[in-house]
Amino acid sequence: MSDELDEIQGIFFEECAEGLAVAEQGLSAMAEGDVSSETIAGVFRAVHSIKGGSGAFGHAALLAFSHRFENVLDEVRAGRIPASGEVTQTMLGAFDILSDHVTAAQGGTEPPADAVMLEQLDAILESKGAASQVSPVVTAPEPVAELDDFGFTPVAAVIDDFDPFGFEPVAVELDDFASPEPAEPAGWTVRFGPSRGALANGGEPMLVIRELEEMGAAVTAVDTGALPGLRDLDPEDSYFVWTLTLPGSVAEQDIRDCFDFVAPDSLIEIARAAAVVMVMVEEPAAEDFDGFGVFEPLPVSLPDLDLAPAEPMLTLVPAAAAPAVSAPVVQAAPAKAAPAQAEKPKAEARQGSVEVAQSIRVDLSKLDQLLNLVGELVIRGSILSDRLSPADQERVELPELSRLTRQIQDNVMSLRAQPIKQAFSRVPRMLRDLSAETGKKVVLETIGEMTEVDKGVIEKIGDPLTHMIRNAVDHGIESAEERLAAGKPAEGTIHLSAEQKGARIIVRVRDDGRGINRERVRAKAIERGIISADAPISDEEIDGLICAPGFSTAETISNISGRGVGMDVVRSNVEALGGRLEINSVPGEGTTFTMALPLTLAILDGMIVRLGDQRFVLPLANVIETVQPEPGQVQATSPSSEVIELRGQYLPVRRVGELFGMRSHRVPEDSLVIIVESETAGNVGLMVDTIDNRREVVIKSLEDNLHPIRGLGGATILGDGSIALILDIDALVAPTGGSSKYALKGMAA
Amino acid sequence: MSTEDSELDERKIVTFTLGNRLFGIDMRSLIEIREWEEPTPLPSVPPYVKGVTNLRGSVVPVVGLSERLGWAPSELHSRSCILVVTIAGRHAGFLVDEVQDIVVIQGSEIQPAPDVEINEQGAIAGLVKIERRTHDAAANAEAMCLLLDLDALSLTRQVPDFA
Repeated sequence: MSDELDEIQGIFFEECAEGLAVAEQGLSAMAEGDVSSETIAGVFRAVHSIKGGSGAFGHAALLAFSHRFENVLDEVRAGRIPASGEVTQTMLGAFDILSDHVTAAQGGTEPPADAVMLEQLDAILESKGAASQVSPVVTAPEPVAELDDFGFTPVAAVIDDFDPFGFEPVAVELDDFASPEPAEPAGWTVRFGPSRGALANGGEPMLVIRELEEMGAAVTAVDTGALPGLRDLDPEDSYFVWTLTLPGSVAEQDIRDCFDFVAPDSLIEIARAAAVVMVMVEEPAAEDFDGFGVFEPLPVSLPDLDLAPAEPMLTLVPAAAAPAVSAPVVQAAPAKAAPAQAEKPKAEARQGSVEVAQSIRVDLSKLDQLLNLVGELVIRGSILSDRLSPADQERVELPELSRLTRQIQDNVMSLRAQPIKQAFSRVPRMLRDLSAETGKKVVLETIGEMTEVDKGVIEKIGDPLTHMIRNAVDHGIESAEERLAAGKPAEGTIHLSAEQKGARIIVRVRDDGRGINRERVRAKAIERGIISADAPISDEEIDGLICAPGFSTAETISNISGRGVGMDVVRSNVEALGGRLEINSVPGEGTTFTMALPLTLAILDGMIVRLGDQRFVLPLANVIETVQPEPGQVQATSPSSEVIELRGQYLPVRRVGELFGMRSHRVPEDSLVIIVESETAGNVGLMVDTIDNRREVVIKSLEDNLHPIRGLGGATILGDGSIALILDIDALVAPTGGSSKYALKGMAA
Repeated sequence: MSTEDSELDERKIVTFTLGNRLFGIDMRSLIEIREWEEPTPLPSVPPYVKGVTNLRGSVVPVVGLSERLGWAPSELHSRSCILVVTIAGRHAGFLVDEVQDIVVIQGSEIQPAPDVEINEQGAIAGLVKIERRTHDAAANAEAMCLLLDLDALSLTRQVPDFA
């Protein structure tokens, strides 16, 4: 059981992460002025479902905080508290604490200090109380309360009579109508019958009932009718249907929350005792019911109810619907038209989400396994095509097989693809923290966050992204006074964008700050011994210096960046991913960091080359051309260095065998030179014995069982089961001399 | 395995030789024993890392255990084999001279290792006396077996740069 519980907990935390993302998006939209009811309701729902799950799993601190947060959101959603900038800012702060709470609950660590934030939230709630006391007329009253104000007695009625008031005629059977008690809400009766397989799926009914009991529920009856004879009894099946009663003061939503994690085909009926009727609606007139402004559409997805066919729809409507006949309501109705309209899209959205939600959760390791298998399939395919003559290939329809294999591969890759939003989502929070630390106001603009990238890439760009954003705020964006003096808006802007270009994804971080102070960077680099004082150096090269190891221009070491590791780490991380980092800076206008990353870390288009009896894979992306050198075309410029003359240009040549210290390797006379493009040393010739072929290889990381090795991007398993090492061209050809040499030559060409 | 783990504190160890010394590792760490096959050499790794090999689709380093422990490299012969083990969730292959036996020992029989002069501190978890079986049962004799602490032999530390 406990394993299963862990598994459901895992799902809960996944859902928390999704909920947090939705909430953050909504709150950010609100901060930007989108205070539409859908946006607010979206945030509310997200926080609400986190609360529901946290209760079910006993995360008390998380539950307590999300509950208070939800209270405020509820008031904002109902329009009783205006979604002012101030309130939104507080809610953003509350969101940050909420995500800390989730992290704490997940890691089993101490919950964050939330007392201050709770006070702020309470202050918002109190301010609303004060406002309504001063001007009760202005505050939009609770619709139900307003109904009571008219003081009429509800009467059971057939709604056909309703025509004069312009309502859609709806066939309604309102027979057994208990007279509602307006003063005290009637108690709830809840019937709960877990689906047969609930226990097997980890849906422990005990947890649900316990949670209900905490709200004051009492089990009044257990229907054991479904219990089979002993012979047919499966002890792991669930046969009972419990009937519970709850005090009327409990909110319906709170009851529903207890069932958040119940298997979808369970029986769940929630009803006000003796005051609920089933209404058969022939036309999809549910929204018209909302038109009374009295009732929230019940947030029940119909399939959950296990009640019946979708058409005609079944809707639960509390009996109080009936009073609508009396005259006073007619007067009240126009006033409520507006909120009713506002409710409408929400109801539609909810319905829509029921239909669209066609996804399943799959363990990532299963996907990886599938990807590996498809990778092997691709390899086998290319071996087959190597071994068969073109005519034979056609005969056995190999091209068709290859095409299908390729399609499967693309599909599997796309399964692992995730919107880069996941990596971007932590940026707003970070910016808020940075703003608080530095006192600089920064606005974030995000473009292309739905760009899809392999999950592995997303996991690995988080750190570089963090460093770049910190760098931009700390060093790029000026203080408000400085900005105003320079004729810029007081608020700085950071543009974060992602786009796909060919097989690469381009991620840009652009700030509108002061740009790189080249004089200072140069002075600092000389001071640090990274470059020599008289070195001729271009502007681009100076910009590149900020990525040199041990470089930092911050006058004082700040908390944020300035430890002199940031940008160095960014570059090495990006390069480790097989990507490139570019820096473009315009003094006074800002700096742009551009990361170009491979879309996938799993498969590589490579050229298989041979040195002695060992084979290596050269990433095809780096290869420019292959040269069979004429005698004299490759010449030594020193005992340890050579150049190749290519169309009048001299390019350095490296012998791969020597770079790897392959002592026994003898370079054959007819060696080939492959011209490759590198970020670290421009175009370089690599000398290899022969080229085997070109093929896609599945990248196996060396880190899995060993550690990263400089100069290698991983390994792959060839068709004959042997291993070929994948060359990391940029690291391989990078000059390895002293640090000064590295920094200068290590710059992007 | 757990059926053997009674209150008697029994452990199963796999014994093997490096030169004339007898070593043992916890049976639970062993994944498989395979014939020696020349691995693909790697650049910029310590000499005891012989290279990488393909273990059912994953790339696994092969270590000359004798060198790793500070002795002369094993000489390859027909019974040389690779013990594939798992160390903290990662896989590694150890080149050993000859796999001997699977022996059950009592935890209480393990003596702490004296200050053994070996290359890797802490790689010897303890000493235990076992009966060394030979082809001729009459010639069986007791022998000292050095129990290895595999965690101390982890390979995941990054080697800073290549030579």
